[in-house]
Amino acid sequence: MSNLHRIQWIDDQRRRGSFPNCSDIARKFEITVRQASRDIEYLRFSLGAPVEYDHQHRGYEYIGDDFILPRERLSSQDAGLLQELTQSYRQIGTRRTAKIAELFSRIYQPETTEPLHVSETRILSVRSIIETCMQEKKQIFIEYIDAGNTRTERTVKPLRLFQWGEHEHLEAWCSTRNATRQFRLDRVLKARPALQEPGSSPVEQENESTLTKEIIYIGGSESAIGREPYTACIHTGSRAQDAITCRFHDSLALLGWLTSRYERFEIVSPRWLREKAGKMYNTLSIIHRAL
Amino acid sequence: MKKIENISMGMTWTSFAGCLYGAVKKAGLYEKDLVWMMGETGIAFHFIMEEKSCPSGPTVYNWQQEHFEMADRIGVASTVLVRHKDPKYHTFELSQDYAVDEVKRSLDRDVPVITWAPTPVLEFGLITGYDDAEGVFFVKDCASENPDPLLYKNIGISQVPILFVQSCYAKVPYDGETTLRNSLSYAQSHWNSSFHEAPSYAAGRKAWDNLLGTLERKDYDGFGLTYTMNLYADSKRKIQQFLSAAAGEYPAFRGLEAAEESAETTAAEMEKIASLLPFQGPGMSSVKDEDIPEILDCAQKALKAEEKTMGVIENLL
Repeated sequence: MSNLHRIQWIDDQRRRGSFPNCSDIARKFEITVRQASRDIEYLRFSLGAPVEYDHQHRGYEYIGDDFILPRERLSSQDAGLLQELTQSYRQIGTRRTAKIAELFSRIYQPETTEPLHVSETRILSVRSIIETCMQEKKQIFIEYIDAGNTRTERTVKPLRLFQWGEHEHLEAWCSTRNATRQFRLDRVLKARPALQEPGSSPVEQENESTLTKEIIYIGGSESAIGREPYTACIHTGSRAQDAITCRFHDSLALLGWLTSRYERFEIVSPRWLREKAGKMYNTLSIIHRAL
Repeated sequence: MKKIENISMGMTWTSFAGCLYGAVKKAGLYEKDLVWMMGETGIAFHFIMEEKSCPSGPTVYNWQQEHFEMADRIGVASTVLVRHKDPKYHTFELSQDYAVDEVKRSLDRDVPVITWAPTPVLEFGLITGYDDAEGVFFVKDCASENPDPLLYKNIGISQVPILFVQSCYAKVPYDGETTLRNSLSYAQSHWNSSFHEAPSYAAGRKAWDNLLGTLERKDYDGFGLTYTMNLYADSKRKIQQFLSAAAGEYPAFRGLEAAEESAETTAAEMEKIASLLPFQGPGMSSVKDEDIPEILDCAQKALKAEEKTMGVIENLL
């Protein structure tokens, strides 16, 4: 049973006056409660449903009557693919890919025009500063308050913006800690371009030094825990010299990066990635034709 | 290249139990359902809490010994390899090589292998295939439907860097009543644990003290509380279902009906707690300060009922 079927069932239950919870969904569709919780996240964050947990009824409800589940003629696989692509593009963190992500999200959210992650003026302002600094390769000075209410001032080199759960995060090279760190955007109290231009972060240094050898590194959280990256050989044109080698930790991040950068590319190896991408892009081309 | 298809992991929050179930069912080494497996192995009775409800609680125990014994209780022979990745060890890479060979041997026998954190999700997962040409294992975890594979060289490397591989290779007949007695004895010894191997963690009765203590002090880890309460609500329900089934199956253990009644109360109270703490994803807390008194009340009722359950079991043994 697909994700879309489950979403439709949840929506249907709510409209019948029931309060479905993750255990109900898990039981009904024989999935884990965690997978069910992802469905709720998908409904809330990707489809923009005003879902809240009602403690009294021990289940989820919609706040207000305005929300209508999009009824596009997309298969669940297609919708899942679009969601994955949206997340991948958003994670890349450039303005262009953020725009592509928004466009993808609109395919299954035709009535939504607001970006999903924007909720406060301060976050908007912080985000804008981060995007500008990323484009201009500048460092940022931030004042940050962590979960334990500790305030710190840091100078960071922004690497990417990404959504995790309810919150948008910044991954950055933190000069204060001399390591890569993630910051929740809503906890960034102040942000401004840093006055001085310190050196590059190790991640960027690797990018810069290896680009000339046509080896691209797509970083990820796994690099921090010492896992070796996967290696892929990609043809981006018809000539042999158009081949690039990509080292990556997350296939979705890599595929998003490739799609945003090249009109055409072919995965030579590894086979598992080729098969995974084949399935995804097959679905995408079907959606494209349908639209 | 080898791929074992159509593996169904057990529907439980306890990822080790889900993996063991997936492995032994696929390999035809166990015939009963998940509730029986969690009861007979004893894993349903696991209850480990850290002082501030750290999310690691449910997985902090002696994997080598306990996982071997759990499989053994249901007549399944297995080998267990556990190595911590510690900078002071010189031979970790050799252990990885050994594990890779062991996993492939098991897969060649069509038996999936249980491992720790095959993806970035810090849970047990299953290795379901391999491809020597690309140096990867195909894996399943509890969080995604199509995760990226695991490079051979990354086995045992995660945020909690422990190389764990358990492969099941044979089954022997076992007497159900004896196994029931053994699993209930295990439940008793777990309940009465006077100390836990890791400081600040406690098992059984003392784990309840840790839970109640952190709720009273309000110094809990929000995600840890959310995660552990959802996990243990599932375990306590499995205990109730197991006791009910066992009481019906074995006349000598009819007395378990009384234990099942109180286990029902424990499960129901834990489910109330879980409903107040809906799981929303890794690292996310659902705790609302205003719900703490109700959670505390439910936990106290659940504990009282579990004391009764364990009292009945003690008298039966």
